[in-house]
Amino acid sequence: MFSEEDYIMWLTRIKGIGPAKIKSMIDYFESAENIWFASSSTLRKVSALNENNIQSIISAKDEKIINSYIDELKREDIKFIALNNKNFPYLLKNIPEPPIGIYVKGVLPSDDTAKVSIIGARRCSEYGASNAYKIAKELACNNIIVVSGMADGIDSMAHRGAIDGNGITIAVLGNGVDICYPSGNKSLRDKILKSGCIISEYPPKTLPYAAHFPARNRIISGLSKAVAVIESEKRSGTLITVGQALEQGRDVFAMPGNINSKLSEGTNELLKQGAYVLTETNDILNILGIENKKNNKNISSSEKNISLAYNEKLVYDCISLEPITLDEIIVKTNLKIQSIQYILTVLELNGYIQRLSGQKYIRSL
Amino acid sequence: MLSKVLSCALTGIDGYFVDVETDVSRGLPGFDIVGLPDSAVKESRERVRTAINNSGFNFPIKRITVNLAPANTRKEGPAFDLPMAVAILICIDEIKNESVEDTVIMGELSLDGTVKAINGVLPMIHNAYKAGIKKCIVPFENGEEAALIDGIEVIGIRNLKELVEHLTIKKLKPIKVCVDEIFKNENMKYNYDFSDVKGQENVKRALEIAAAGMHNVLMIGPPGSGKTMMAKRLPSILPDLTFKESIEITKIYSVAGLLKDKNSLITKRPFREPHHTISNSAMVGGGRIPKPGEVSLSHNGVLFLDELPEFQRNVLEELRQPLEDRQVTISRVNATMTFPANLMAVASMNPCKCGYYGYSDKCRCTINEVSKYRGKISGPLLDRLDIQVEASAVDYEELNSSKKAESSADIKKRVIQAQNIQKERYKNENIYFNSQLSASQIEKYCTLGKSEIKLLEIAFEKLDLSARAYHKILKIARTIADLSDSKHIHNEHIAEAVQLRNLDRKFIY
Repeated sequence: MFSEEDYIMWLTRIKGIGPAKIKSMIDYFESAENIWFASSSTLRKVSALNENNIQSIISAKDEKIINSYIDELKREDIKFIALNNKNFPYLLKNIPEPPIGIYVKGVLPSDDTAKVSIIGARRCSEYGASNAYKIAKELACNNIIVVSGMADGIDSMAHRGAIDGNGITIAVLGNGVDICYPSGNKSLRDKILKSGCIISEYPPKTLPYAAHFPARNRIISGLSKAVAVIESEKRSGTLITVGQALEQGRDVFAMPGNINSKLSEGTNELLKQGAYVLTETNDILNILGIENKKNNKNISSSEKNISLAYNEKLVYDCISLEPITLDEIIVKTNLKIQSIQYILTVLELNGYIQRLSGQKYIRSL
Repeated sequence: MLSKVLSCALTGIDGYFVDVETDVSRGLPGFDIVGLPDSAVKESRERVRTAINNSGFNFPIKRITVNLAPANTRKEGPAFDLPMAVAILICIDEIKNESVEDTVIMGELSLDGTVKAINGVLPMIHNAYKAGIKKCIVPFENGEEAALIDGIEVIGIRNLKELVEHLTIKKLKPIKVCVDEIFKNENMKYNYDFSDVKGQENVKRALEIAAAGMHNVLMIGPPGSGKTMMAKRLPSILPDLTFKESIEITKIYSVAGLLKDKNSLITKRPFREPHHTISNSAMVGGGRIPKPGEVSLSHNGVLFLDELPEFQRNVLEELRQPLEDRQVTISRVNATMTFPANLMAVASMNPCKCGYYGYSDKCRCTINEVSKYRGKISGPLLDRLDIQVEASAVDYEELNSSKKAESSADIKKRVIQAQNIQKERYKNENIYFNSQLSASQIEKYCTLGKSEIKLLEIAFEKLDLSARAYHKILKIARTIADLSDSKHIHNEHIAEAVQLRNLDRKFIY
């Protein structure tokens, strides 16, 4: 015999049956177990199903198949949590069209800790990337869980920031949790799994189809109390997430950007429409009613107390959070190229500055 | 009657003697050439016959047989026209055989008896000189080229009639060139100077270091950042050519037929800039009878590979051997030849397909596309490009610096000094420059103090450098130390070297 949750898991894995159809079937049959035992003629009474769906359900009715699914989850260390499970995230349960169940790899944090999602474009500027990192890190330091989508750009930087702030972070994927997408994020994925988890509504081995991503986005915002948009273009997946967040009644924060930058058009537009202004982590903490524990120890580098030699200070002072090129440093400091190269290496090795591609430098965070 | 005239042919960039044996005897009139002539040599018959007739002599209506000995190598080109004509004239007693004894003769004839210039005169005369020959007769246009070899009497000939007069009635004056004069007049003149380049200080510095240690360089930067401009100025900071180097290059150009006015010694370092559609054999050399390719034509100079990832993969892979061995060996059915290829490779590339990754919002490339683009250059080739430097995209006018850029002559002084230090240091090794150091030689010559080792360790750990960077950084640091006339490698040298290994670094975004 199988548990009700197993039957739901079984339903999510039948081809051509999405959350809406599952929901109408469960409404009709009152439990997933009843669907397992239903005949094709009774299934036909569910108006949402077409003949192909019914055939798929009938042919999937095999104890071997359901057992293989259960074994696979065990082997891959993946948990399936159905909507009616008491461990199902509370906030997510109450969104319009919640997922029937979620697959979780890693440890699902409890509902008690506040979650904030940080989202933004895959293609981002240094401005966006460094601030996503910084805010995620500061949130993590305040024991807030950072939720994002593990995509390139802002998402990755948010996860990194949270990990470096020794916090927990959750990645929500548009593919099976056993697949690493984008494949370049393998090491990041491992780090996320150390303390946090990876969540997907899709069964293992599902490939990342474009159509999955808007649906994935509703889970990102659904899990969190607030959504922070770091950088986004005018038409982007990020703004879809914002739309869903508003529908779900989440607070939306947007980080203002350069008005000439394409990459900030979306966020600036959100601000115009009345989103909360995000210029520091405290903006989020205040709305959530959380006191900044690290208030006295500001971790942003502008206040970092570092002792440097005269020339090193000269070079360090040129470098801010806006990227600066080597040529500009030369003009500003009037030092010889060889000594600047030396100082830059020393500063970088000491962790005071970071080098970006394009022979540019910024202060590290 | 039998006659024998000495001539020369080429294999690779070396000459060898060819005896032109000619017999004129009674029999059915005819003109045969044996000794593996190719079609240009076979056609000599017509040119020789007409030229002799049009120079006021009577071509013998007899059975003529010419043998080009050694008979087992294939002879090509029109250079045997003149020796054949001379041999026939000897047979009909217009010239005495003794008058051309121990004389090398070469040249192409035109139908009216004019002698035309040929390729490869310098290496052939050089070979003759080494074998102890004292006299040579070459086309007038090739005269100065041949006269570069001191110690051999060079007679430049304009036409066949003049040659006969020279050998019978009155002697022509041998051609002389003053090598020092050529060097003085032309050597210092480069059209480009580094003082034209404003900004890009780090790239200029990288090129200076590259020139000092003969390191190969890769420049990465967006379009319009001046990569080509700076590469073109590189020869102007390399030390002047020595006479020996100059002869080496001139020989190669002579064989390739690239000596512009057929009489000049190449006194400037070559700068070759092949287009990225170049084929394999044009790059390293090739052909049925191998001819030197771009790598050899940039011998003792600079080979500039613009848009490196656009080159065909196999062409780039072929470069590995010449860059390592400083010579290139080409094997064909007919011959296996070795050409020198002691060059400095300078390559340039964009950071991504569209050219603006990391420089501008314009870039639409995904991270995967960027790594795919950079992946077009294989690891082994990248290994041979010691210095990898990023050019920044900056509108320098905006910075409005009053600082005047340094001229090539000033940079050159430092480069020469650093190269002299290296030559002195490696006088007992078989190398000249830091870039040629082998792993064991690095251990010997690039010793580090405690704090330097520590710095390098931290750099590797913090910057996520790849293992192959280790030896490169040491070599570059050695060159930087030489440039500042420092006996030991110090922290600042290593720190600067670390900045010159860009592609080893893994950037987050």
